[in-house]
Amino acid sequence: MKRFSHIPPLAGLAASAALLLAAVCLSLCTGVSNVGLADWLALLGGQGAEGTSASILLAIRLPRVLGGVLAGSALAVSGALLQAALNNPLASDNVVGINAGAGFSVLLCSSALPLALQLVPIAAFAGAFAAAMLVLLLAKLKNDSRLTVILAGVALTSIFSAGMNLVLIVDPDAYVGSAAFLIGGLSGVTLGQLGVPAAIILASLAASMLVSNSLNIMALGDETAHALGMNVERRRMTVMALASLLAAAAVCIAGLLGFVGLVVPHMVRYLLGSDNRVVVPMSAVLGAGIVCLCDLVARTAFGSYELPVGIIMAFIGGPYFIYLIARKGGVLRG
Amino acid sequence: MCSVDDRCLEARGLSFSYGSASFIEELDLVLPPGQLTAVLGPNGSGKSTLLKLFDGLLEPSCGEVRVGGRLLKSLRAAERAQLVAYLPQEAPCPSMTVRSYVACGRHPYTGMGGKLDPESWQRVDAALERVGLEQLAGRDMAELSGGQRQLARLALVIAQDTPIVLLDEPVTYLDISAAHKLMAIARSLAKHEGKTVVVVIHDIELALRYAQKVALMHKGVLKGVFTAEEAALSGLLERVFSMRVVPIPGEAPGSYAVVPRDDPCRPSAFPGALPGRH
Repeated sequence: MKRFSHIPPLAGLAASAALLLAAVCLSLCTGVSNVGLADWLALLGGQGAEGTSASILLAIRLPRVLGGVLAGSALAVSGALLQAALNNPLASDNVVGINAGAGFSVLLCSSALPLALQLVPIAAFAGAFAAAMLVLLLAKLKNDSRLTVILAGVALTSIFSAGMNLVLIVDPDAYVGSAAFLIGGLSGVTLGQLGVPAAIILASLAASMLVSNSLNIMALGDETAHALGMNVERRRMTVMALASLLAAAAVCIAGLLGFVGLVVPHMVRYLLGSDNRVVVPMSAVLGAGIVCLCDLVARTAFGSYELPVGIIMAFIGGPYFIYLIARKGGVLRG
Repeated sequence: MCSVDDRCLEARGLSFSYGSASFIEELDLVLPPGQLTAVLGPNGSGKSTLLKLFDGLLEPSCGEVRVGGRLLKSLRAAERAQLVAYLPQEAPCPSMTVRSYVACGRHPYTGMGGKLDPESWQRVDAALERVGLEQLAGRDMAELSGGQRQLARLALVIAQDTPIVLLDEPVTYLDISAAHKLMAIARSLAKHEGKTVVVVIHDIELALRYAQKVALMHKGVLKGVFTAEEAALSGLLERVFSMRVVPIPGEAPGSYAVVPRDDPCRPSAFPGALPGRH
């Protein structure tokens, strides 16, 4: 991989913002129904606010696009934070088991307290953070070995997946649309459902920008970071908590959508270099655009069939994960 | 007095143990400013542990470390980082330009965003020039040779601009030219800028040539602080390293090369072997 880039960060940001804008506009105007730009213009002009087209645009496409933008940016930044905090290029929310931890908590909460919907984001964060701390603990026990982090993530994901399946076997109605939830999808997202996760994501993204410079210092190694006046353990916990919050909020919107957090930060580093003050905001913009585009493909490219966006992301992310493991020099050393 | 000078580093009754293993025992040491002190001793004698205690990376089991008379552990992290710089034995090589890497040395003086003021950038560029890497400032760290990378790490420490500088085995992987260059810079930091410089080193010849004082350690115990001449001629090196050596005067005044004798490890050569820790 290219180690640093000559593309100016502002040019990269402008290009990514243009991609995101294009993806959002295209997603809002495209679908299996014949409702598009003209209907949006009519709606914005104050016409047809009560019709079927308006319902499709406002109740289905708009929340879905907003959900994709929010979940994409949250997962991409969560991945960037995890890779920096664990000094592990393979780390991301779905690889280290954070998504699965959040998912298990969401299903457990939905089954045990079906009427307490407001508790779902809290439960998601509790599960995500517990998984993050377990991974951190296991990594510490093995001297921060990269391989240990990944294997611990595999084990945790298996355990939490078994837990999710158990909940769904015992209580099949625990979660409406549980199949899409387990794969990761944006079908059925409503505006009302987005409020709390959106607030968490926006606040966490702002906090992530604030800590992005300290990620550069952490990249120098714990001893150097300490010598430069950083309380490394405390900062690492803060970053892991932020990554967990972002992943948990994304799980509340899009279920267990994987590989966004793995692929997007790598793309940003490849294009713009490794300065985390650039990687974090750029991952947010690019992650939002990519999830939006993939969801557009998932719901329009297969005729009358609609795929959960998680399947598209897995087809992209899975091979990339293998490439990262197998590439020359490898990334599991150290 | 030493205790009111920010550049003075003191250890009093310093001990460090982990479980039942003792790594440093009852160590008393005062390092005055303007002096390069080399810490010599065999593997496992506690040299790197001592440096980590001086930087606050490890908490002493007993005793205390003072910087300019103030307890090290009472200092805030940023305050400590403005007084003590530490170059660890090993550190990851992040993907960033050499100039950005050295600029990280200004972290204790920046806010959360890490934005450097013009004076800080001047210090960064001066540090790069000091180690001779100004031509490579725009290169990625990963593209540098091992020696250049080590000089970049030293530049980061210089950019940190602290009165106390701790270097843990900075010349281990360097060729003879790069090793001498690095030690000459370390000595200049002490001699011309009045910094307190402590270097943990395995190369006895480099230590005796560049350091004003040599601290000899053996199994966690400080055997004393000597001039190069005292260390070379007193026979202490032979006893500390359990090896028969011949000191040969070098060209520079007071410098010595140390050459192993024939059959250097014959046990009878050092009947007065030093007692170890308990």
